[in-house]
Amino acid sequence: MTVNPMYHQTNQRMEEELCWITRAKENPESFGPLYRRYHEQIFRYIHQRMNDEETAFDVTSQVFMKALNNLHRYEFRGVPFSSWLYRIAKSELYQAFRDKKAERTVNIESYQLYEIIDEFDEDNSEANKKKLFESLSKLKEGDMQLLELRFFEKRSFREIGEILDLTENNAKVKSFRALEKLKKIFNNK
Amino acid sequence: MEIKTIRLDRSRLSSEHIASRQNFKQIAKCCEAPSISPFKSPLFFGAMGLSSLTLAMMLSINGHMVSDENDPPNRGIEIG
Repeated sequence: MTVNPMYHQTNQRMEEELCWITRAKENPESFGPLYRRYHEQIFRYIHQRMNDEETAFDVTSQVFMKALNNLHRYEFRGVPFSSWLYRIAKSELYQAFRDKKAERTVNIESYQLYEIIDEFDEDNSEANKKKLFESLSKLKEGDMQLLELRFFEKRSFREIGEILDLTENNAKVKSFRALEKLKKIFNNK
Repeated sequence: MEIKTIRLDRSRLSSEHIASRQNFKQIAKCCEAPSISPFKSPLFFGAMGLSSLTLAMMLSINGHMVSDENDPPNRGIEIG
């Protein structure tokens, strides 16, 4: 499975961000370049998990407000700044679900379903697509989260670990276990 | 957390549409300037350092004066 290169960052880019963060700690106006760089990524992450576009834009704004307000607490630990933003986004997203501002939705493309069917070594028939679609609804939230990050959004295990606060190895093990659970549900259908 | 809906092939929003909704002014306006703890400010350390030094000097000078007053005058060796 190919990994989305969008989430990988060079050392030069991370150093550049670190300069912006240092400046933004002194002056919030300097947070602008970071906001412009990550607005779309964070919005897509949120919108992918809910139905309503307007609520997704609202939650995205809350993520950046929270990030800017807590920037003085941010410490560089070798992981990209985006991972810190994703963690805030995850927390704000689930807060929106708890407050009933948004409904948890899983958005999938047909080709992503076929990719999973391929992983199961099954044929890409319409019947299998329907079966997989139904199987997904039986998954628990934690497993679904891992499948979304790994198989739908094509993130690396390192990135998944950073977002979910797991080690890279743990993210790998948990992702494959989630896939195994889905396969079991799929085969029992 | 219960997954309510699974949707297939939702239309993807364009990057231009998402970018048009950026509003950094609103974000910056809502956030107060990050406050640096007064205990971490160089001003705090400067003021504390200076006052400690002054206090130490005053105590030292005061200590000398008190000990001068309390010391009995040196009368030398009295031979009976």
